[in-house]
Amino acid sequence: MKPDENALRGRVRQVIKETGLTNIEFADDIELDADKLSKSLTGVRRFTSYELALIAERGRTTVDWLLTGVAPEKIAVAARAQARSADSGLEEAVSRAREIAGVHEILKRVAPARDDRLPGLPATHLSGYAIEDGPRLADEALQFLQKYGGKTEDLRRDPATVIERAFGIDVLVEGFGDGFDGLACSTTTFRLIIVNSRTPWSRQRFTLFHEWGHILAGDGRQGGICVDGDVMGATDRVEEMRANSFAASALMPESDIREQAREPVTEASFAELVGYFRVSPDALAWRLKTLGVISPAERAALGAMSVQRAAVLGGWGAEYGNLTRNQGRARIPLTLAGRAAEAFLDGKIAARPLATLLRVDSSTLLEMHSAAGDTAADDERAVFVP
Amino acid sequence: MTLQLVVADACSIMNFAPIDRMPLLNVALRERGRWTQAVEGEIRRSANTLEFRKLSALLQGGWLGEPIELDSAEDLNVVEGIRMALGGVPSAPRQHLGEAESIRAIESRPELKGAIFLTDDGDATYLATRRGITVKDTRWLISDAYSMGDIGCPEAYEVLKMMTDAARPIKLPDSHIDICP
Repeated sequence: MKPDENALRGRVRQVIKETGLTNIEFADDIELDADKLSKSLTGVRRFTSYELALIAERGRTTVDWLLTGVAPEKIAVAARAQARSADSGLEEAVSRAREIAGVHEILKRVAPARDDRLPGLPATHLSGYAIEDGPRLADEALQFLQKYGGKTEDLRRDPATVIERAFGIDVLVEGFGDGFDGLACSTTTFRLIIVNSRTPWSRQRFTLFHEWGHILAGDGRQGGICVDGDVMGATDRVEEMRANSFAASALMPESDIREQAREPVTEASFAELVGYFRVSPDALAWRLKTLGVISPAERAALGAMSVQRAAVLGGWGAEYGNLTRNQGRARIPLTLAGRAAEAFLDGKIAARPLATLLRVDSSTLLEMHSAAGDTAADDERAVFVP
Repeated sequence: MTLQLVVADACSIMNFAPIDRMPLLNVALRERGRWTQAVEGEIRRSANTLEFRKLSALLQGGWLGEPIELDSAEDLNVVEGIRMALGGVPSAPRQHLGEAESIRAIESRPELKGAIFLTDDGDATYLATRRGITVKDTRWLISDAYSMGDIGCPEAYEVLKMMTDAARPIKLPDSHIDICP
């Protein structure tokens, strides 16, 4: 990637022009020698790496854009979310999304994968009617998954890993402040879902599927972020209704319901189903009602069941205990973390990008790395690196 | 014998400013020191702050010579790649630029072949070492100054202690014997 020097000069001129300053004022503003700037602009001398950094910084662009003219894909918060970004959880999560995107950019630049292309997504024509589009999108996603060897059973057990592997969507689960359930964003080379681990496990699962629905529907394409403070809160917008309808349909597929639900649905069989689908009783009751399996009155009665009662009655108390005990556990995007770890071990990147992903200090990783090689194996003494 | 040059990173240079020992840096470098344009820029900006105002001695004294400029098409591309490998994001173009320029300069400039990269940054140390560059830190520089008789014992160790007390990011050895054996 060698820059065309004429084009580079042209882009620097463009940056200067956009500031509204003269060349001399611009040089003064970024503490460059005006004579050197003038010579570089006329091709008498070349720009240095430091000068390009100062110019890029002042022009709010990147050095790679100055060198190649290829604009970086930015992660931007949609206006509707910005209005609510004063909520600490939202702001933290958006900033975390940018960090993850930064690691992606770094790996793409210095340790590109053999094939950096994202897997294709099912092409879906959206009618604009959320209640129709959500289930159709879910059907197509499940068919797509099966076509590429994925199992709906795996999706039920470990949805984050299945979504990540089959759909090329990085999934991060971490603790954020109040007022944030999840977010989704994608560029042409990057897809990300973030879920707040400080919410109950059933809500985390619903949020994950809701955000997955956003990405499959193409909401927030080209770097726009769909941020959800409350996945159940914004039901007046088509894309949110569609994402919810998708989540319900993909979490509790109709074919699965027809197979598992024995009619008439009793309290005990309902409680078993809650454990099978790992959703809230309320979410399942609504789904059964939507599919005509139960009446509105049954929905109201069964939906009011507590999840603890469902676990006891349905015989999945131990599973409930595990889910609840582990609900605050963080999950990092596995594929991205694997690539970053490999690049670090190969010496292609320093520890910082991987540390950013793992949310640890880079010195911790460097110490672990150097300590691993310090102690020679000795069968006589129990010497190991703790 | 050819003089082994030392390309200094800003963080190592800055260790000497808050403890008012800039002349020691000059003595310890013994005219072997070099710096890149981004490092010089960082030092210039830092010298305007109260904590690092003593850096002005270096700017006035010219101890590190003319800053090395990296300007070939390949330099520009490689420096940006190294900067990102160090964790610098595209939207902050000066982040880790000094370390990236230093690594590139040692790798590409014939006059810097075999030069030492002086840095106390763990990430820069790791990446440069993996690229085959000899990396040393401030502890080495002080120890070297001791071995050359530029500083006595236990002063050498005390200087490092003062640096850590000033919250400079250096690893203080357990004992002065590690510095002045």
